[in-house]
Amino acid sequence: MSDIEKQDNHKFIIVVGAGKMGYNLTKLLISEGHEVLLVEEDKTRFNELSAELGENIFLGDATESEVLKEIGTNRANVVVAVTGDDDVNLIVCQMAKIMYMTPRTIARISNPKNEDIFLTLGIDNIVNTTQIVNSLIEKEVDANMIVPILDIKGSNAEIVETELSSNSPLVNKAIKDIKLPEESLIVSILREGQVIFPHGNTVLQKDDTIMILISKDKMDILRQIL
Amino acid sequence: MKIVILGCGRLGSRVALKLGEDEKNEIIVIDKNSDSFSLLGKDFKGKIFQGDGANMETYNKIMNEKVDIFLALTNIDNTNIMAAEIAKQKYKVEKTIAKVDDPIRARAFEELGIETICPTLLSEKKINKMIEKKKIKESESDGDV
Repeated sequence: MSDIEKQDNHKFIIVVGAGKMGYNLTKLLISEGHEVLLVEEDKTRFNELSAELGENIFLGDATESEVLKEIGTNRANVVVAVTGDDDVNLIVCQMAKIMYMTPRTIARISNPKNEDIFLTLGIDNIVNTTQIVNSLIEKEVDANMIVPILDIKGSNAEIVETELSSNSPLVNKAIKDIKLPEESLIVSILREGQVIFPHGNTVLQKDDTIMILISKDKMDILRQIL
Repeated sequence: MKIVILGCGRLGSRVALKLGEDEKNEIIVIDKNSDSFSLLGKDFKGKIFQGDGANMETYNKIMNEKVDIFLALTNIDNTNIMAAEIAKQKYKVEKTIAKVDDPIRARAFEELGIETICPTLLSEKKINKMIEKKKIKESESDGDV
C-alpha cells in the first residue's frame, strides 16, 4: 500500500477494553497506520501496557460521558467496545452514537442470547466471541471451512477467517506468491496464539489461522485456492 | 398490575415494599445477589428471582407474560439502561424507568426514549431549593428591621 493510499484510509479508532482482544486489536490497527486509542479503566492493566503503548492507551471509564469527551470521540471514525461486560459494550457504543454520531460502532458480546437485542438497539456490528469459538470447534470437522467474522455494513465486503490444513496449497508459501482473488487481503495471521502482521514476505504455515478481508463475490474463488 | 423491579438494594427494596402494599399489584424483584433479598423482610408477598440484569436469559424466564411496569434500580447505570432497553424493545413494556446516576448519560438515553430518574439531578435540585428557601427567609427578616 502506498503512503497516499494509507492517508486516505487513515482512521481514528477508539478501542474500549484492554483485555487480550482489545490489546491485540490495538496493535494490529496501529501497524496498519491508524490512529488508535485504547481505553482501559483498570489501573493495574493500564500500568502493564502503558510503557508499550504510550499515548495510545488511556486510563478511564468509557461509559462516563466526560471520558468520551476527553478522548475526542467526536472525531472518531469507529468505536469498538470489547470489554468482557456486555452491558458496558452496549452503552459505550450507544453513547458514541447518540452523543457524537460515531459513523461506526462495533460491540463484542459474550452472551449469545444478547445478540438480537444489540442489533435492535442500533449497534452497527457485533462480534460474538462465543460463536467464534463454537465455529472454531466445528471447523475441526471441515478443514476448509471459512468462518465469517465481521460483516462490513453498507458494503459488499466481510472479514472471514480460515485455518490452514497441512495439505493446503498455501502452506509454506510467501504471501506475495499467493494468487489471492481480486478485492481480497490477508489482514492478520494467528499463529500459536500470537498475532502476526503479514507482509509480502511472510510465509504461511500449517495450522495458521488467517483473517481475510474480502468482497463477498470473490468467496468462491477463495474457497478454491485454500 | 404486573411490576418487575431489577435491583434489590436500598431503593429497589423500598419501592418493592411500597408497591406491594396494594394487593392488586403483582411484584417480581430481580437481583444478582440472593443476599440482597433480605432487605425485603419476611412480610414481602411478591416473588423474588436471582438473575443477572445484563443477561437476556433472565428476562426470558419471567417476562414472557405481559408486564405493565419495569423499573431498573441497580447501582450500575449501564445495567439499568441495558435492562430498560430490553424491557422496552423486546418485551414492549409500556412504562420502563431506569435509574441513571450520571446526568449526562441520563439525558443521552432520555433522547433515545428511555425514561430515566437521576438521583444526582434530584439531589441537586433539592439542595438548591433548600438554599433558596433560606435566602428568602433571610431577606424577609431583613425587611422586618
